[in-house]
Amino acid sequence: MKKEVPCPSCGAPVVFQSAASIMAVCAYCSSTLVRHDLDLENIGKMAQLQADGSPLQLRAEGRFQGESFTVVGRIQLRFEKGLWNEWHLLFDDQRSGWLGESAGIYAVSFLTEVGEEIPKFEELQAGESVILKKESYEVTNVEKAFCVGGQGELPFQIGPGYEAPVADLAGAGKQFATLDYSEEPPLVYMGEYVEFEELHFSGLREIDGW
Amino acid sequence: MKTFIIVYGAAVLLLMGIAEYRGWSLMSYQEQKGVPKTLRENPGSYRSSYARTLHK
Amino acid sequence: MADPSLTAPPSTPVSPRVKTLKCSGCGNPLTVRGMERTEAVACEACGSVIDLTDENLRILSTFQSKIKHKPLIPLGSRGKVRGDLFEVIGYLRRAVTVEGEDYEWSEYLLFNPYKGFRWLSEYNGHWNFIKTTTNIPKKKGDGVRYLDKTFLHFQSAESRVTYVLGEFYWKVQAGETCKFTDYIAPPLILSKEQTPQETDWSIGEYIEPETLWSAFRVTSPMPARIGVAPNQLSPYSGKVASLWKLIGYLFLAAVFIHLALFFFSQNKLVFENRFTFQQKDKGKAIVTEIFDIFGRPSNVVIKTAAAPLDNSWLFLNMALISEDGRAYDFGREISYYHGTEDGSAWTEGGFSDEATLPSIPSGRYYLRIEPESSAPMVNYHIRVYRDVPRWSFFFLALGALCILPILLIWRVARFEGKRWSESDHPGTVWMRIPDSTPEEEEGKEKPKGKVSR
Repeated sequence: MKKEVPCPSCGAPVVFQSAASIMAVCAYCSSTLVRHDLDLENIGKMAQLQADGSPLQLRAEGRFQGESFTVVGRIQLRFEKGLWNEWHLLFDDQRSGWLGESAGIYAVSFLTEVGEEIPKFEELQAGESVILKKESYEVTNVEKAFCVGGQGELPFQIGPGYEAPVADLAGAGKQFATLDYSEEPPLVYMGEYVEFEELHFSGLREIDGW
Repeated sequence: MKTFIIVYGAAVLLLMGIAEYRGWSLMSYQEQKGVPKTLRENPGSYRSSYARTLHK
Repeated sequence: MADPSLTAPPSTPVSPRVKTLKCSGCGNPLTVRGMERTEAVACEACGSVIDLTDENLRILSTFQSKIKHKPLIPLGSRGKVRGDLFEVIGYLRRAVTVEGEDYEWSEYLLFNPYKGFRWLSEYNGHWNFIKTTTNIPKKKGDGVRYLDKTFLHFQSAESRVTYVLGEFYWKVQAGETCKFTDYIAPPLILSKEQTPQETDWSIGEYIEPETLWSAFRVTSPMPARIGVAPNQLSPYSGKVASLWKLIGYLFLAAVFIHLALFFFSQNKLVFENRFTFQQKDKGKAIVTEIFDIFGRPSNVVIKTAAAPLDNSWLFLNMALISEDGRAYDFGREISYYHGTEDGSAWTEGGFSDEATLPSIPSGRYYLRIEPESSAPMVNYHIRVYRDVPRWSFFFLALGALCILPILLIWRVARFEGKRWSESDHPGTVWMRIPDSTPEEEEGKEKPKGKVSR
């Protein structure tokens, strides 16, 4: 399903590997390109990401629960205590997933439909419990984050400074969930915490001295 | 701690075994040697180590 | 699948291993090792904490400290801990005040770009290797349950950062506080840091300083360990049950040995006779007939029964004399007193006596008896037994063995008492013996650690 379209600004090839991706950042000129069927609309230059020392990069490959994926996009967000990344993963079965990376903690999650009503962001407090898909989760983080920038291809439109109030939750065992309040109704992503080694990455960024 | 328990325990058991086997006693007594055979004819001639203890 | 035709330039710059900046406070050169993962760096010279995310490198806060603390493991040291390589990039000191007393400890921030962050904490010479955990423990009483282990509540307090050196992944402020709760299951410790926005759990594992000193090739002297750390393994952990069993076996062995010797004893009556004492016999001595005593050197028990005694006594000056001239002198008194006092009757004494002579060799013996009494007439019956089982040494042995459980309990209690002395629950040792897990093999279980703020 890979599509290659020339960048309207500099002509370099822009790749869309996922049918779900609606925007991409040109790797050469950093133009933010929104996909309209076969056309790409340039809506401006993407802000430069902050160097955050992540070992991950676009085109890295890994495995999660026996399925292979490729890292096709990235959103960098800033919150009170620092930065974190949401890496857009494209699985072999064309599913889109997310790998949250923050201070060495990793969690894979997928956009999920839940039957329960999601509490309002203002009502959330760390330590309280929320029911998602009939299971109890405990709120671990409540943050008003904003987007620093993006890379690669993404399934929704983002821009620097766009506000992303989010809450992270932990369930029994390794279960993980995140509530994204940048849309109404809030989006729910569910998955699990993973150890970096469990993802069996290849194509990682080379870090000098390590 | 384990070695101490084993050594101490073994010592206690050994002492107890010897005491019981050899018939030890906690009673006080005095041993004398060289009592002549003639004592049987004249029991009064024996010089006892035990003076009569004062009764209550 | 990576497409070789896509040769886009990398969008993130390759970071150099170490960066040097000038401190905005005093111009001192600062080394930054965190590969852009760190947000703040502290200047040793002036105590300023610089915001690495700010293009003007503004000062976030300043630490006032009269003492310049030196980290025991220098910043920049690299070492393998539990199989992974880490670099020491930051050092901070925290303090709590409990009942008016200040306790301060150090924390070392470790970094590996592929593994993330870990911490080493040091207090009174005790070290812990700590990592954040994403497994949320479940409440259980006033403790928690985590990975099938019960952790006991140790302390809840508020700590403040008193000193910083090097880099951190958050913008650390001078004096910043943090409410924490510690739970223990030696050798592990769980810490919870709670704010309205965040709950952070971290798990620490007690680590021997020797392991760190060799891993990081530390040259400074290792501080001596003082007291007992909250999650320090007891020297008795995992062994207590087997020690109790051992003590139990000793008691059992005492019983068996005693019973065996009991059943193998002769308990033979070798002489018996009745005598009468009258006042006219005073001062006179009698000798019995000769009797044989056989077997290995063992005891000889002289049992005497006397009657009638009514507020009177009978004293027998006795000697067991052998044919070859050995004599064993001993004196026995039998007395019986009775009366009434304030309406209730009392008695004192008895009518019989047993005298045990030790280790008498076999041979031919007789008794010499010199009786005396306060009564006009007393009849006494003497029986001599050979190799009689006695209980006194058995009871003495049991008593001596009783010291062992007392000693064991005292030592365990002393250690645990020290452990809990600095907790929120001092002096409650008996209710709080932790779920001690025996030492896990090196590298077998990776600790899920703590990243504390």
